[in-house]
Amino acid sequence: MASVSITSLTKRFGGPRSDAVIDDLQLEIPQGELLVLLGASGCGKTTTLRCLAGLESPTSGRIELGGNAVFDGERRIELPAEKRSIGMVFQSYALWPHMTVRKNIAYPLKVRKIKDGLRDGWVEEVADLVDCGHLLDRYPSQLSGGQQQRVALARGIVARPDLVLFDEPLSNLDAKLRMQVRADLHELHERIGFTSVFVTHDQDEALALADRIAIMRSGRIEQCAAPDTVFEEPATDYVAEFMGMSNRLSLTRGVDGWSASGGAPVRLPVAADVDELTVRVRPEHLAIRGGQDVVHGHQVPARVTGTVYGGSHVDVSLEADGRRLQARVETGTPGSRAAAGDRVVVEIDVARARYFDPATERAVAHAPVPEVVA
Amino acid sequence: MSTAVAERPSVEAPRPRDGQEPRAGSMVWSSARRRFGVWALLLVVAYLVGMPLVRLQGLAFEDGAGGYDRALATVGLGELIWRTVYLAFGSMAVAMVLGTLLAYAASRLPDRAGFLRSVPIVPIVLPAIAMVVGWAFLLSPGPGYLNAALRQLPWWDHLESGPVDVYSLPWIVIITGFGLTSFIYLFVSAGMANISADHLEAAHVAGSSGAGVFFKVVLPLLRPSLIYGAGVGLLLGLGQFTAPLLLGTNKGIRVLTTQMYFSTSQFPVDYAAAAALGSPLLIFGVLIVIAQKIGIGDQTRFVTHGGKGAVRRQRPSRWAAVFIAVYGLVAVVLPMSGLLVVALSPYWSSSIDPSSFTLANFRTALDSPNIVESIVTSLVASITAVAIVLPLGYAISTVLLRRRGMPIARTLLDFLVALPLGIPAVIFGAGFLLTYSEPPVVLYGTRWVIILVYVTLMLPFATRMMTNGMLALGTSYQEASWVSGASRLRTHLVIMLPLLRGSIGGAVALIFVLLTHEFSASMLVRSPTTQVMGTVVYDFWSNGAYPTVAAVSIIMTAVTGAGVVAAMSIGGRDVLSKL
Ligand SMILES: Nc1ncnc2c1ncn2[C@@H]1O[C@H](COP(=O)(O)OP(=O)(O)O)[C@@H](O)[C@H]1O
Ligand SMILES: [Mg+2]
Repeated sequence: MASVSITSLTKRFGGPRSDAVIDDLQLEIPQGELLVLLGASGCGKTTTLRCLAGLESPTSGRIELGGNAVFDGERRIELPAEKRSIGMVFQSYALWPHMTVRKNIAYPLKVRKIKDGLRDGWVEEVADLVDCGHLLDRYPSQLSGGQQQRVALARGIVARPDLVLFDEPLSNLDAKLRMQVRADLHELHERIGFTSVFVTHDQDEALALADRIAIMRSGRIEQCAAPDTVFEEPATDYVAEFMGMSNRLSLTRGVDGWSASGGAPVRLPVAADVDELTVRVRPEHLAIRGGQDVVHGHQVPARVTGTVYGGSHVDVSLEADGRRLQARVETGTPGSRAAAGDRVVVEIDVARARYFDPATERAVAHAPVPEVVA
Repeated sequence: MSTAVAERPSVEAPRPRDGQEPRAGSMVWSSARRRFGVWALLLVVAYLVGMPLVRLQGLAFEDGAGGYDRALATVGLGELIWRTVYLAFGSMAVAMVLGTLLAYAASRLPDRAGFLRSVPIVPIVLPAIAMVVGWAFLLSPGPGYLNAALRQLPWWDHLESGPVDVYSLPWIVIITGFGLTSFIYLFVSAGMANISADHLEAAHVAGSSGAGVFFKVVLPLLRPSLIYGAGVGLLLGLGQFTAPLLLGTNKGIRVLTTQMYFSTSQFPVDYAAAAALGSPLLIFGVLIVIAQKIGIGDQTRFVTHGGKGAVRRQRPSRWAAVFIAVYGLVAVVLPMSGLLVVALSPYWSSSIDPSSFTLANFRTALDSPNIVESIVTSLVASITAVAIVLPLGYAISTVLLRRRGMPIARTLLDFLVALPLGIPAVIFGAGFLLTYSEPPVVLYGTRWVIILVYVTLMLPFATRMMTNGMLALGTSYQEASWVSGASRLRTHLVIMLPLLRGSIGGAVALIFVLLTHEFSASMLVRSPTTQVMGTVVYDFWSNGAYPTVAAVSIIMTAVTGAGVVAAMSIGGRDVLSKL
């Protein structure tokens, strides 16, 4: 196990003028941490991981593993993959079909000549750890997807490498199995605490597994923080949207407070000297009111365009002043009885909404109490 | 789950890698080693493929291009070139028509007749010389069996010989065309597999007849494959050697390739003139390879289209099965039957007498030390060449599939490896004859010159088949091995080779098959004491020992057939279409 330090990492697949797939990336991962790289498809997660593994040559920058440079563009150091102390779990598992599970798991010990491990039964130990102890003499083709996934995991960690890399390892599993393997992986990491980088595009997976989440966008990291921070306090408009704040409104400062076009002015918990704000709200934090209800937060008149019944909740699609909104209301509340075509008032929970400067897309500071900056 | 593990959170686990701290400059070192490997490989390939061609041209230009002067002074040069072009276009046209029809028929085969899909490919794996000889036994104007049968017809019953004369240019063209049909079939089938069945079904639904669909829908959609296939057919046609040599020699019907051969083997021997005569074919081949490399061809290397024989579902037709079956009868069974009858008869005459059938010809053949030795040489040379060319092809594929670094070396390698597809085997034969009969490396008269020319001719096939295997396997198996800490070499040995054993087995068998009946290059590099099966057949043919010719041809076909069966059992039934 070791810490990881990435400095100014850049990767271009074409010439010097091509777009950087990884763009001046900085990242510090302390020993024992499970860092999740989260981002939309094509943002450069896999490429970052492959650069860490030594399967891809970065264009420039520096990668240190446990204080030793494994890549340094300036000093022209590049350790090939086989000389780095890493384990990797592939999206396709990549278990060798001509070897038994035992041979698959033992392979890293054998090729790295870790005699202690072979003698002391690390293979059986780690196989038990992932609940595959009884499968050791089977071939990969005789295993279910979930079992193959666990064997791949065992192979990745058996040699106790400095760093374990995961590239969307759960994406080929069905939903139920995914949840279970996710929980097992979490437990495993709690127990033996390997340093690892886990790539995914699934925010639930990231929240469940991560010590910290790094949100990637176009080869850069937008925010790197603990899961609750990323969820509650997204640093940018992009992160907010990615973490489920799908509703977006624009407000302008007026004499009586902030207002959207068509809505009444409202006091907001922000302390910023900007004239426009982008508001991000989760569907859960939009309420649907009839005309005469008491006003709590900011209100916007809207028209219901459709509803989807989801059991304990109802998803309501709305249109307000040409803008699409999504509300998720508890079944049984008056709002859940809305039907397409209804005219309603949408109320935004201003305390739980998040506010961004439209110019920089960065979050603006909260004020402790709602105030009007007029 | 054991608690022991929980208590030993491997923080302080023994670190077997201590003392192997990365050094500054390791990037330079490891990449330098890899670069060296690639350049060494390039050097080997350049020597194998390039040297003979360079020596040929060097010789042609010696003494103020004396070779060219004498080549241009060849008697009847204009006719020679005209015949070569006629052979190329003629056989290409025959092959285009037959190959396209066969590919269309194969796409409409009923399920039960699916095995017929391999039939049009069979002529590739059968010895070309055996087929040509078989046709001669059928269509020779005097004793040809088919001619004799045709003379029974009322309107030909007055003829003494004929009506067909296989020793004429039109029939050389037709028989060559049969051989090329297989290649066109592979191309067009590959193109056909890319046509959406919807187009065809829509046309059927709209009420077009089978023929209507073929002309109005299939042909226009196939235009790119057809143009490409025609180019390849032309190239192959220009380099044809076997049929013109066996059928054209008596009446002096020579083309560039056979003229080249005679310039190196008959008085007055003139290597320089032979080299110069080959230049048009050489230049044309190089141009085609370059065009193919920079053009639309991208991944698909020509002649080696991975056609699966039109797998799309289309309305099956019984006529499709009948058509392919009839083609198989005419193009394969008929000439083979001719061979077999002569091989079993005491002598070749126009009448077939089953009561006189005997195995004496085979006994004579197997009692002849020359023939036995040629069989041994064929087998040894083929097996040795396979053992050399497959590792080479494996290494080349590994380099070519690497996506980064050394673009110049990789482009050169890619180009050099493709050359033997574009340049006729006769020219390589001449080049090898020249290069290895003189110091520094004198191999003429040994099996090694045959082995080296075989290795060179098979480089494109070996590389292609290895590349296909590796592409199908994907990169993640080897990457998983690297990140597990295994060296590149170990990864190749422990992971890649076992996983590629199917592809490798198929390639071994196929290359073996192609080599056991190699004829064109062998004719040039053979020496009186080092013969292969094909060249021995030619010698007996020249001496008129027809029953022996037939017997050896049958033996050759049997060896090949064993190879094909091996190829199919290792590589699966589709293995032939992977060529
Ligand atoms: N070998 C490659 N050559 C060229 N472009 C590549 C290559 N690999 C990835 N890319 C490009 O880099 C970008 C990031 O890819 P990737 O790292 O795989 O994204 P992610 O894993 O986040 O989905 C994509 O636009 C992709 O097209
Ligand atoms: Mg990816």
